[in-house]
Amino acid sequence: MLFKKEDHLPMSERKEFPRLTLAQRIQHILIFSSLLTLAVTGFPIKFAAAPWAEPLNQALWGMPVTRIIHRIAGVVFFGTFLFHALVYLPVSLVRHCRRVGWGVREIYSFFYMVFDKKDLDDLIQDIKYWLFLSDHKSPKRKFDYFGKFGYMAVFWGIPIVGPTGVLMWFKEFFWELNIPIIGQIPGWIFSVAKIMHSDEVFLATIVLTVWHWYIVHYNPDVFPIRWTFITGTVPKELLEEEHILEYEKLIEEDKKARGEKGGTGGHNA
Amino acid sequence: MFTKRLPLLVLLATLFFPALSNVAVAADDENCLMCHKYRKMGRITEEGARKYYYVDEPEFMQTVHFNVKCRDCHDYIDRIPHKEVAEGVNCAKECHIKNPATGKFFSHKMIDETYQKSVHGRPKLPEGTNADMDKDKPYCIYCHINPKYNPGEKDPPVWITKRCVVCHEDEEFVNHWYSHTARRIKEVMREPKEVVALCSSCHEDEEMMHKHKLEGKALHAADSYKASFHGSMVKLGWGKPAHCLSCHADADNYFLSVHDIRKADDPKATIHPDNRHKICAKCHKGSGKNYATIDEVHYNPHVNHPIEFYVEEFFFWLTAGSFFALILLITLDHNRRMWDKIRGKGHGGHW
Repeated sequence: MLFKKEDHLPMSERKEFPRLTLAQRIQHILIFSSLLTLAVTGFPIKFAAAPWAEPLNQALWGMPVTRIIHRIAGVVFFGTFLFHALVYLPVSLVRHCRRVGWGVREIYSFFYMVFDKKDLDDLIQDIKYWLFLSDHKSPKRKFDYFGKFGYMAVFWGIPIVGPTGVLMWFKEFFWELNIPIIGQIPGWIFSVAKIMHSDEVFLATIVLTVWHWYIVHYNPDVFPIRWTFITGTVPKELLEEEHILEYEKLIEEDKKARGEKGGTGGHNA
Repeated sequence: MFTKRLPLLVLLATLFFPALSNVAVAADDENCLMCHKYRKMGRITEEGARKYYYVDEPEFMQTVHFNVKCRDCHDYIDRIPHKEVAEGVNCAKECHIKNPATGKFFSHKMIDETYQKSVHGRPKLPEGTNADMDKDKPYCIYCHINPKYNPGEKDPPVWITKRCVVCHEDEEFVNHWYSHTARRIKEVMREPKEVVALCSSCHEDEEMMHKHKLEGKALHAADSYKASFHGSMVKLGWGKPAHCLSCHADADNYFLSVHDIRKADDPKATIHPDNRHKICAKCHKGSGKNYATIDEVHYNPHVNHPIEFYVEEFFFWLTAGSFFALILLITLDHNRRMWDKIRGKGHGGHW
């Protein structure tokens, strides 16, 4: 099932539906593998007093090695983010606009990860469902409020973690730098950078291991793992359950495309 | 022929070996060991502490003070059996060992004079005023033991000393000189972990620090260092982290200046704001004066750091809030999902 190609079939007959493009999957793998590396090499320093800190650090050949690993992983982590924000998003925007047009409404439709009114309605409906006040969840689009929240968290987290990391890495350089107008960076900025660097990653790690892993690992419907991050597809049943509006949209668009062009199929959202 | 005599040789060897190993008994010509050689020599003080006065001679003979006579340091003893010992040894005294380089009698006086000017080494308070304060003061023997020559090497290696003897003739002198020098080559400095443990043995004691009127950063010096990046490095056992003495002593003349630790407002102190950047630049190549304004090592959020304090608080509450909010959502979702599953409503849906 994992790697079976179904692109030739019409959407309504498929068992797997497209969810993530290859570029998105590669970026996800780079981000999570480097984040895990950063966490196991970084947290022994933040929590050096903890009993597990020294064994974990020694298991990775100790400080002389982990400090190098941490910096390499940091470059991959921050680099992937910069690629996403400065290359991937603009290129995708241009592609999107070439397909649908260059009007304000069309450009706005590219930013479907931004929260809107429907997300609030969805959340309220879901809370009712959780509290047994309603018998169904809200019908979701491709990305629901929690998916958007996770995506947006990256845009608040990495701009904190990345620059503070660079600042601490080249501290000798930055603190001797004479910046026009501002002058030299005061010393207390370092303490703030250090606190923000590790506390922000700790927050991110808590959020990811608790909530993101619940969605993709722990929850009883997908345990032990959801393979979307490798295959880029999602099983029909899960898509119907979770993103019914996306399911309907894919079938609709596929029908339209086949009606017009005579069955080329394969749509990347 | 030889095999017949072997048992006899073994017997002779066992008889003479203990005697041979004690050949160097020279320091005890006043026969203090007559009593102090007994293992049970000791007493229990009125506070209940066990005191041992046993001197293990073979052990002592391997220490750096092996050729110093007992009464060179314990000079208050004037008769045998002696009275109760009320005072400690004075390392600033001259002993009867001549320095082969200068020909003078040896003394730790120079170290002691430097130490007396440092923050730790004020003179004793007049009797009865505040003896409690004097008890806390780190005297020489608080930090220094009587260290052994290279403990792994029972005797100096012959393949080295036999070359020295060619010119220096006196084998005993060569052996002493080898041990003296080799120890200083091998054991140059204490391990960072040992230094941190030694300094924090007092500086971690908040009550004692209050008593000696330490304030602000100095009050929390040990705790804040252990929480710092340098402290983490020491804990994780990296080879060359900056420990207490890397900054509080001058690296150019380390062994004298560790006895010359001064307060930050003393212009001679290595950590005086005007000198601080020189210390940082020892490890942090390319750093300058502004770099030294980074206050990471003894950073304590409760002492004059309002910005850092509130940043830390913000992240703490954000993390704690996120954690419990997410756990609540997951629990609700899981409950409802399982409820629907049990009642046969399929997958139960997902957010």
